[in-house]
Order: sequence, then structure tokens, then C-alpha cells
Amino acid sequence: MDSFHTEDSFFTLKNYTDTFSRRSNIRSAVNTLNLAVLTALFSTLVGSVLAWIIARTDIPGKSLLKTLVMVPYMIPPFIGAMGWMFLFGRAGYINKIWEHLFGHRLFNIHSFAGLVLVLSMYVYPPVFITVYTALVNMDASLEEAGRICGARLFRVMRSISLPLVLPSIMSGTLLVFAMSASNFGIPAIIGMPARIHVLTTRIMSYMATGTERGLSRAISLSVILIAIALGGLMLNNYLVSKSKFTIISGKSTRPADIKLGKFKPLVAVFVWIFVVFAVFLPMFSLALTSLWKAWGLPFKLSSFTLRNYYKVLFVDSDTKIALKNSFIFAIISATFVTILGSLVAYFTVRWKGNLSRTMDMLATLPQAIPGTALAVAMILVWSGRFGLNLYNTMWIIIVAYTARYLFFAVRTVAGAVKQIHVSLEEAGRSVGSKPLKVLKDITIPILKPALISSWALVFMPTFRELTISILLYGPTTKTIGVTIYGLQEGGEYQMASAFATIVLLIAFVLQFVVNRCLFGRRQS
Amino acid sequence: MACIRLENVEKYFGSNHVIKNLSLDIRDGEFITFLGPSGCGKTTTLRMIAGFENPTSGEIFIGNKPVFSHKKGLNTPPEDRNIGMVFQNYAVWPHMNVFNNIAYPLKIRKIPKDEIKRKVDRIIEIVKLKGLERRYPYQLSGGQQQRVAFARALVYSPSILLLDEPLSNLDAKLREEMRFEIKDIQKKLGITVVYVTHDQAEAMVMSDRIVVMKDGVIQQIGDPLEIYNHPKNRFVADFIGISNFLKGKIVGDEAGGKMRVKLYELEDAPEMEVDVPHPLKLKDKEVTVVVRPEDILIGAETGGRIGGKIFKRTFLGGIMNYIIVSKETKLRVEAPKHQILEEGDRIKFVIKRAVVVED
Repeated sequence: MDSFHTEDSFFTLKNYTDTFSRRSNIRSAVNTLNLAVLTALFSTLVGSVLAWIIARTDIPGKSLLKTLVMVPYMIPPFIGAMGWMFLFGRAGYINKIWEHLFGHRLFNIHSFAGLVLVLSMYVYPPVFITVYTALVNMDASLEEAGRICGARLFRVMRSISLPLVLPSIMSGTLLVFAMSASNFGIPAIIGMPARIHVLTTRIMSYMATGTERGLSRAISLSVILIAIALGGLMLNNYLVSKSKFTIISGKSTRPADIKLGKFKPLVAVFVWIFVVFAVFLPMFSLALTSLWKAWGLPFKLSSFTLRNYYKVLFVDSDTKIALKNSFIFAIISATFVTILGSLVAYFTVRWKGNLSRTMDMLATLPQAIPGTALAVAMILVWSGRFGLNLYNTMWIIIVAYTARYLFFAVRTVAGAVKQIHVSLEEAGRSVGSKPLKVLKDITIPILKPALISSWALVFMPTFRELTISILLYGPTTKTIGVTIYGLQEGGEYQMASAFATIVLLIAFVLQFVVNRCLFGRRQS
Repeated sequence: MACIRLENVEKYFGSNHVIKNLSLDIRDGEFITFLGPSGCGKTTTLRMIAGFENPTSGEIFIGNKPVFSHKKGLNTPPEDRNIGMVFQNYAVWPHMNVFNNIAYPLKIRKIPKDEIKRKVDRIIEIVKLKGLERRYPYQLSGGQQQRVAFARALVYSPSILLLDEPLSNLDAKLREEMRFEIKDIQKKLGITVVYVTHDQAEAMVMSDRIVVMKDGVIQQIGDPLEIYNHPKNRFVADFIGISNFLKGKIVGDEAGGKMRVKLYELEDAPEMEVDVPHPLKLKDKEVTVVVRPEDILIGAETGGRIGGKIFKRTFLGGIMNYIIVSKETKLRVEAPKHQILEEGDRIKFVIKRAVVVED
């Protein structure tokens, strides 16, 4: 609401007319829309084709491929963007090799096409996983019925399977649309050097001016950004609620794999090239850069060193503080979110009514709001206007994280609470246990895996968060994301890469541990 | 219309031997049922006829044309076998309405539009779905969805119809009705039907012949009466209907499919003539004898001379069910509902018919 407000009148559109009288602001909104639409389309294509190949053809190594194509989901987009920049930037490795061989650069990543490409590489996993799941869980007899009455496998795919997974594909597309519009890290690293601005980066620049006018413009742009992202998500909800059919999975056998025959090597090579480019090369270029003594030294063993890692972990006070900050923020937020989210989840599932519906909506709405806009809102609310000033403290970051990720806990725990039949609790009461004791002795122990997984689901993205913290950090509250971004901006590529590599290693190890804990020994 | 022949079919799933050297001739226009407990290989056999599973070795012929041959490396894909199939969960496509579901096989065969309309209308009439053409599957009941599945499987006049437990998801009343309707449709169209079920009552009502299977091996093939009256072995007798198993000692040589046996587990160790419908492999003088509950009559007026006692009585609606004890052997007996005896009553009974089975 603050965007309709100025000093002399209470309700006005002046802020909007002021904001949109500047062409660069209009261009950033148009860029955001273009970027989101193109990225959504491109990543839908990539995600769906990969899903189909891995779910339904007979190419070898399917379970390994499935894990590998999901890896980009674990990589923070801004770190991935750095990896791509080291490959296809002005002095990127591949461009340099190409220039050496053919006399010109292969591809300039700092372009709109580069932006779409890199963004797609980090947002396609949701499409992949929804389509993959739909394809694998599809009742095999629906396809078999098609074949038995005379249709060839490819015809069955086209006229039966594709229409059946189409709702999943569209849902993935709209989700990716919202994610792309909200992304900050990739446009900041790939787009800004080429002066390509989107709403998130524009808002960041206005906030960085620190003036009243900058703030009011940032607010106006945030409203536009929210409208774009929410629009995509609401359209998705509408389509999901409208869709007439769900794919019922019966007892059924797994759907038959398509025999690719003579195309098998070709398809396999295609998928592996994709995996090498999308997953391995960016990480490899990041790791390579982190070992370099200085950018541009000749490719010799003597040019490499582990000093950058040593500096990040033990010497540089900025990186050391950032590590400590991020861990503290993430631990506190994850704990907050899990407690608060569990309460919301428990009450909304157990007591249906207006109050719990409102609670559920309040808890899930911030998740749909782009992080950049959420951070702007946090500044408005918590910088003293309403009595409490959290600005420049760690608490404003933690509150923002909590709002942003509360949804994760609510969803995870609500799913688990629904699994617990009320009779389990009633049985506790019937043998003479008081309600609180039932909660402690029965409900919480059964929910434990869900609580742990919700904690981990919040910890993972918060400890390497960039979008929110870059707007909310103060002199003593720099996070890992902010610090890596700062090093990268300042041209300290080796330090930035070393720090990013450490973050990736921590993320992978944590993911591995969590998977082990949660899926290794699972309660029924 | 076509006959089906399976020759020395073997099927392994990994190291799991699920079909063991199965050979079978199914006649043109016959209604044949694969009956057996779950895991006996009946569905696998059906899916091999359809072409969804490939035998590890052996040959399959439809209408005397080979559709699968391990030796010749021949394997006709399902869509070219001209088969109709109804799936257990119906597999009605949720994104097509009733008309389009049924018309799909005709569209694939590139049949002109007006003819499609005519054929679909006719089959809709047969399966009694008139007026529901524009409905989507989610607007149909389970029974209606099943009729759509039937219509879709029949509309292109396939040479054989495969039914994979099509009634198991319906409620009891509807299931009963559908048995007769399926049989009716089959007679009307004269189509060869292969039916898979674990429900013996379904098999009895509909089949021309029943194939009883266990652990991937055919136990017995025969018409329902034969299977019931002359089960070949203990498994078939136990699986089809209710059986009392008694041990007997052979006291006379076999002649004309009959043999004299002493039932030494009963009071007074009575001797009687029992049926020997199948050739027997005898190791010693011991045999297993099957007595159906309705073949035991209670009361002196029925000529009963074997002594026993009423152990338990249960009323089942149409009949009275007794468990009687004779020299520590318990027997199940079905008696008319007006014959009321109290638990503990001493009785005399007679065994009207008994048959020898392999163990």
C-alpha cells in the first residue's frame, strides 16, 4: 500500500507516474516479462524432453542421469551464473580456446540470450521433476489400452500420454515463469555487465541509492514484480483447480520403455552432452578458477594454488564473518520456521475453519512473493515506522527468511499430520494421557522425520541466500551470498570461486546427510 | 474370430520362473477362463497373448498365425494382433469423452467418419450407454466406465477379447449382473474370450472351459461341471468349491472308472465305490478321497449307516450348514434349511458320491 502514498497526499498514483516516466524502468519491466516468458518456454522444452527420455526410453544409466539432471536445483543460481561466466564470459575458458582456434569468441554470455540460457539451466528442474513423476506414475494400462486397439507406440505417446501429462507440463511452466521473474542472482551477474536490467536488479540499484525517491521507486517496481510473479502462480492454481482429470495410478505395472533402437546412441550422447554442459562444466570452471593464482595466468601447474581456500577459511575476516553469520541466520531461521510452521500446519489440519484458513493463507502467501519485493516490504515495516527498528540488525534478515520459507515447513508438516490418523491421538487419550502428553509422546515422535526434513529444507537455501540478504544486510550482518557477490563484483574471481566452491561442497554434503537420515531408515 | 494356441511357453522374470512349459489350445468362439490364486501366472499368460510380455521361449499362435516365436525371432507388437482387451481398472482415457474413447480404435484404422459414428452408436446400444456419449469418465460410475471399456474393446470387431479381472472393482450386486451380460455379449458376437479371474463363481457361471493354474503350471483344464465333479488333484478340489478330504485304503481293483475304498477315518470304517476319473499313479494302497458337502446326506431315512455327531450348525440363508464329527474326523455338510438338528445330536449319514484325487 505504501506505493500509493506520498508526503502531501494520502492516496496518489504519483509514484507510479514518476517511476514509469523513466524509460529504463519500463524497459526493465518489459525485460522481466520477456525473460520470464522465454525462460519458461525454453526450460519447459528442456525439462519435458529430458523427463520423457529419462522416464520412458531405454537409454542406459537412467537413475544416475535422473540424479545428475536434478543437481542444478541444489546449486544457488548466482553461483551457477559465475560458473557460466567463467566459461562464456569475455575472457571465459571456452571463449578463449575458441578464439585461439578460430579467431573469435564462441558466445557472449552477457547478452539477453545468455541470460535466458543460464536462467533456464537453473529453473528447469521443477518442470523435469513434475513431468518425470507424471510419466512414471501414469497408469500403464492407459497406454496399453491404446496399443491393444491398434495404435503404434508413438501415436499412443502423442494422443494419450502427452494430453495426460500436459497439465503437469503447464503447471511446471507457470511455476518456472514466476521463479524466473523473481530471480535476482543470475540477472545481476550475467545481465548487469551488459546493462540488461530486470525488475529485481533495478530495485536493487534504487535501494542502493539510499534516498527517499529511490525507495519510493523501488516500491513501485516491487508492486509490478509481485503482480507478475503472483499472476503466474494464480493462473497455475486456477488451471489446477479447473483440470477435470487427474492421472489415477492403480496397481498397474510400470509403463513400458520405448526402444530407441538405432537412435539410442544418438539420444544418449545428446543427454550426456547436456549433462556435461549444464552440470559439470560450470562447476568445473568454478573449481578451476578457485585454484588459479591470478586470472589470466598461463595454464601451467605453477599457476595453481590452494591459497584461495586457505584465505577464505582462515585469513580473510570478511569471509570468516560471513560464514559465521550465514550459519547463525540459517540455524535460527530454520528453527523458527519449523516451530511456527508446525503449529500452523497442525492447527490448520486438525481444526478446520475460517481462522485456520486465514492462518494457512498468511503462511503460504510470502512464498509466492519474490524475495526482492519481500525484502523491500521488510524495510518498510521494520525500519521504525511501526515503532520497531530492526534495520541493520540480524533480526530483519531472520524475519524475512522466516516469512519467505515458512511455507516449506507448513507444507511438509501438514502433509505428515494428514498421515497421522486422529485415532492415534485418541487412542492416547483413551488410555488416560493428557492432551499435552499425547502431543509429546505420540504426535511429535511420529512427526519427527517431517520436522527434520522441514528444518533442512529451510536451512539449505537460507545459508547461501543472496536475493533477500543483499537488500537487508548491514555492516556486521553480511551473509555468504552477499560476500561472494561482493568479491565477484570487485573482480576477485579466485576468492569468489573458492568461497562458492566451499558453499557448494557444504550444500552437497548436507544434502547427502539429509537424504541418508530421512530416507535411509524410514518409519512407515 | 480366431483360435489361440500356446506351445511350450516359458516365462522368467529375472530368475523367477513364472510360467512353466505351458501348452494350451483355445478353440474359436470359446469362452475360456484362467482361474487361480494371485501369483499363479494367469495374468502373465494373458499379457503374453496380448503382446505386453514376451515369453522367454515358446510359441504363440492367434488364428493359426504365429504372433510370437522364440525360435524364429518373431514378435508381433500388440497393436498388430487385432485383439480387444478390457483392463482391471478399465483404463478409460480421462481426457476423452465416452464417444471419443470408443471411436479411438476406429480413427486409428482410418475408417470414414460416418461409419465410425454408425459403429460406435451400435456398440453403445449393445453395452447400454445410450445418452452418455458426451460425458467424461469422471462423470461416470465404475460400472459405466467398465461398459465404455467393453465397447472400446469390441467396436473394431477384434478376433479375440481378453478380459483381465474386469469385475473385481465392482460392487457385489453389479458384479453378479455383469457376469450374465458379458456372457450374453460373447454369445451375440461369437467372439473368442480369454478371461482371467481368481473368483471361482465368475469362472463357473461364464466359462465354456476353465484352466486352473498354480505356480505357473496348468493343474486342470475342463468344463465347469467336470472341474467341480472330477477335480484332478487336491489343489483343484480345494480351490473350486468346498471339499472334505478323507484318507482311504484301496480294497478292490479299478474297473470302469470306479474303485472300492475303505474310509478308515470314519466310524465303522465304511467301504464304498468311488469315482476314479483320471489315471492314478499309485505308490501304495492309500488314496485321498474328496467328498463335497452336498453329497453327504444326514438321517436314517436317507439310508445313512455311518455314525457321527453334530458339532456345529450355521444358517446360511438358502441352506443349513453343519459340521459333523465322525471318529474325530470333521466333515462339512450342506443340508436343506428345514432339516434342523441340534449341536450334540447323534446322527447317521451317508456319502452319496466321492472321487479320488492326486495329492
